Amino acid sequence: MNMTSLERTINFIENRKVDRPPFHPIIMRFAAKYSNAKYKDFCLDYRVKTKAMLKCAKDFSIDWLTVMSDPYAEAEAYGVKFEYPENNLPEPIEPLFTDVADINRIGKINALENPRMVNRINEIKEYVNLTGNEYFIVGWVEGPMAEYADIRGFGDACIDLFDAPEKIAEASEIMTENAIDFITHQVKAGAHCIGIGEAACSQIGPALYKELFFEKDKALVDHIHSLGAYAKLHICGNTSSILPDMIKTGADIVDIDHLVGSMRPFANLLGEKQVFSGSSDPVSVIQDGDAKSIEESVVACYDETNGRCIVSAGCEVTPGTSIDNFRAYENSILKLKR
Amino acid sequence: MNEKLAEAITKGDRNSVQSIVNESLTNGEKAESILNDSMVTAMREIGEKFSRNEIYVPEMLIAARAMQSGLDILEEALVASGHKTLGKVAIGTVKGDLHDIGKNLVAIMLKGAGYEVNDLGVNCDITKYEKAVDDGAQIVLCSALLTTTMPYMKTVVDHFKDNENVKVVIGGAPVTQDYADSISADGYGSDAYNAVVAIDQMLSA
Repeated sequence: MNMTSLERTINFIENRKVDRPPFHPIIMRFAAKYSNAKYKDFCLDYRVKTKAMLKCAKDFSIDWLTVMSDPYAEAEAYGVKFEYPENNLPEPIEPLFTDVADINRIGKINALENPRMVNRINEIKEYVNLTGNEYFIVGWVEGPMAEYADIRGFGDACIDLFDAPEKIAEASEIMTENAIDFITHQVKAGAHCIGIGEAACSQIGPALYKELFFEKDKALVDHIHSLGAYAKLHICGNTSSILPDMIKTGADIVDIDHLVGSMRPFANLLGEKQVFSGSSDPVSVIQDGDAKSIEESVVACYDETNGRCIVSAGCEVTPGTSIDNFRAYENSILKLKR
Repeated sequence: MNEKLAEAITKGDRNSVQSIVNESLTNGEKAESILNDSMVTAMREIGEKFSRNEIYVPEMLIAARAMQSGLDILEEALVASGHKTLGKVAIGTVKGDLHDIGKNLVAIMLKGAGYEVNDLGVNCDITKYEKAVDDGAQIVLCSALLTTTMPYMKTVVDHFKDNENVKVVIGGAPVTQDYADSISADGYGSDAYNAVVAIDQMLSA
């Protein structure tokens, strides 16, 4: 049975027969390095990122093409100033505001008027132009908590959750509306799936997540579904305490960071057409391990979830991962049968 | 222990902390006793709960802020009484790395546990760590979030390996005990609370 990456991924999510599980590693700095691209260009030039991602997909049997590079496209549109080092992650250099009293500076943004958001839409269009319906194309938005942390700084954002919860709730409504608009543009551009990044949520605990952000994340998932696309929810860190709620958002793909540990206790919470994605340790296993330990980890992740897990590291594959180890990672997936 | 003061810190209630500390001083209680018996105890409890995933970063940050508001009131009296901290430590995120969340949490816990903390900020090179040691730091803590910046921890460890008066402790999301062992670091903190435990053990040995 020969399947395209798109068929393989969709069939896998829909609980239909596949030739092997899909391979969706998060490769950002690894992809830029592998294709000799400067990271600044990888973030800012859709042609550079799409070329790098496609090269990795072809060379390592990767089944998805993503727009991921850094979380700051929307934050820049809100007015945060960033510096783009030649070969490193973007750095915030001037916040939008330094006092929560000025939170109303978070307002409506227009995706089509901001260069980085337009660049993301162009990345998706370029993937469609270059590959048609061969790969699973994944767009991206920041969820409201992650976005607020990107805008405000994580520490201050956490304190604001206690000092000004009503203002945070109001700002979250606006950020969610903006994310919904951005999702629409990306799906129209051809994305089969939209990832929702809510990185900071693993650090705020289940009560605050439930109270302030769960419904917003669910609204994003519902909107993605209303457009006929798939939804992926990505939260870095140990999400054990909020994983049941993450699954309840209805996201089709729920990313699992290696810090969660075994996925087994949560596997039975998945719906019939929901899957995990994860969760090999990107440093101790994928970067520093060997072919044997990488294969053992991949098999363990698969077994823990009764075969309902897209193969991926939890979280980003490091730029220090050797080609040999990444090849071993690929080979371990190609050996997996469903 | 003043239960109300400890509870106010645990809940992050700055106003109550300030009022209880002022009241205690007015009643003749020694600043050192207020600090060590109630405030430090409360922050250690916060650290333990954080380590057990019973509370999360926001609760820890507001507790630290409440603790600091009490410390600000006590500072003058502590200096006057010749109060000595548990030791002097320096902490910084290593060169090339601008992430400070983990580093800040460890600094908060160390301060709350009774250490004098020299927070060197982010992107710290050897010169910064060396100056902190010259200023009296007995322990140097290195934090990193990026795998690309972790190797600088070895540079720091190697730099201080012949200085028997300085210990280097490392930590951060991608850092493990195995990595700490591989670069011969003196200690490793798997989280903010365990970083404090590691330093407690080192300085009491």
